[in-house]
Amino acid sequence: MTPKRFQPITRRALLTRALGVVALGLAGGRGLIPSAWANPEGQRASDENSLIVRVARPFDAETKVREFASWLTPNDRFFVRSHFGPPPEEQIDPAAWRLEVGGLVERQLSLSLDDLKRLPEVTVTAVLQCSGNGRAFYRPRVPGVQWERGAVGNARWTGVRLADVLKRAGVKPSAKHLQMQGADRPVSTQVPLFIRSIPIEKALHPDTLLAYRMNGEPLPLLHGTPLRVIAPGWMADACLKWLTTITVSAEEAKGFYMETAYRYPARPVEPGTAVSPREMKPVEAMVVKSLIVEPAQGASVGRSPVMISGVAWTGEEGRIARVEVSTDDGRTWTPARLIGEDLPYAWWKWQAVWQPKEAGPAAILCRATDDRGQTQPMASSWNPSGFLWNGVDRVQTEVRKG
Amino acid sequence: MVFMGVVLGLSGGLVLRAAAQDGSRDQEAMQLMANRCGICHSTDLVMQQRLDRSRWTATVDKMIRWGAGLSPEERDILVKYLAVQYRPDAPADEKPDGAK
Repeated sequence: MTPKRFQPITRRALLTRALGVVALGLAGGRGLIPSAWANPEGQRASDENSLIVRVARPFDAETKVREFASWLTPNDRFFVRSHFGPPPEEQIDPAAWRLEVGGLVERQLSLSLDDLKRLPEVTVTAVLQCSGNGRAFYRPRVPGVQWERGAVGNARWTGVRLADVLKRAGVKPSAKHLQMQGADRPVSTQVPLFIRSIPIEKALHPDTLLAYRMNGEPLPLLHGTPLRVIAPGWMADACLKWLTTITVSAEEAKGFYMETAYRYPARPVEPGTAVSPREMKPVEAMVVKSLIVEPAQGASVGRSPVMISGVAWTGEEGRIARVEVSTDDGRTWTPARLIGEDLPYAWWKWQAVWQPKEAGPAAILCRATDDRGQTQPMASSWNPSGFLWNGVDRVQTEVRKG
Repeated sequence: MVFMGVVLGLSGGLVLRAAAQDGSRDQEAMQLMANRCGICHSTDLVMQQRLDRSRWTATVDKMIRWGAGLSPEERDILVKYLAVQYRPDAPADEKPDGAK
């Protein structure tokens, strides 16, 4: 964790609190309104240097790309996506909380957090990314939270293997999917519940976790305390927060959030066209992607060599093969140097040196290629809900005279 | 001249009255946004969208199915407002961190 910073409470911070943002508290599973008010970590939710708030309620906020200079994204700087916001405190009190395991299993289970913690503990460093990250760049525009570049982060997730829990329950041969539900509930009872499913193969994968720690700390409230699913290499719509129920089934989950939402066309479509539900498939694995962290958007740089740095990642168990940068609008590309450990689900850091030749505006582009030969396109294929954006990243700079 | 003045005066009055009516409709739409849409989510979610009329209609109708309390007349007032105010070519929000 980064050191705590105590900020004076500004008028804006008070206003944000009044809107209930800080009530959601970025720190630990403790805070609903009263404790968050007294919680110095909670104050940082309204710190102007922290997250870019896209929606105040339920809270949706993305990370400023400059935070990705740190290989691990700090918990209080990690993007937040909420469908309904965190559940009431009593629903997720670790002492009373249970995970119910049912459906096509030999034995139904009702597990406490302590029961789970008796299973072997596993840690996986993995990128977590909202399926709609980059939605704001699609044209024509599509409805939804207008995420730009920062609905992504890289964290160390600690918990137990979902497969170990399912082995205790005994999965029946007819099982095809694992349905998941959390304790969060919509304001209106007419809003569909957030119920999702993943194929049983992904549920039984040894790297798929039920996580109770994030970067070594108890899972924070906004990130799903006390337990969330981490399906490494897949988009975050598979990584349910505040998990309370898993049901082994022969079918995908029913309802809006599985049958309609989080789907995209199986084949590319003309931008702006309507796509029949039959031609849509669920969003699952991430696609190859990279971001420029330095220089920042709008930065002024000198004529001396400039260090360009960033991060790159891909989906499933794929590896980044190379990252390239361009300073001539994509006419020529120069390889960047990859930095870090070769870990299957974490992101790589990368660096390249650029020698600006003349003063004036200059764009920097970057693109990554993975070991399956996927390269970031200039712009991603349009889809009706704006998922899986992985267009070449671009940062505009100004080269100073002299 | 007198005749033209009368015509201009009349049409000017009509335009003004129409504008006043539009203004009050806008006020009503903004109140619907705050008081009905705002039950489930803050209105920043609405204001960041840039959609054409058919997408706005589909979105508002989805929200009515999901419990947004809007009469047919209120729905029309809201859709009309959203389709103008948050149309695809409406000015962008300030972008604190947006490359591209």
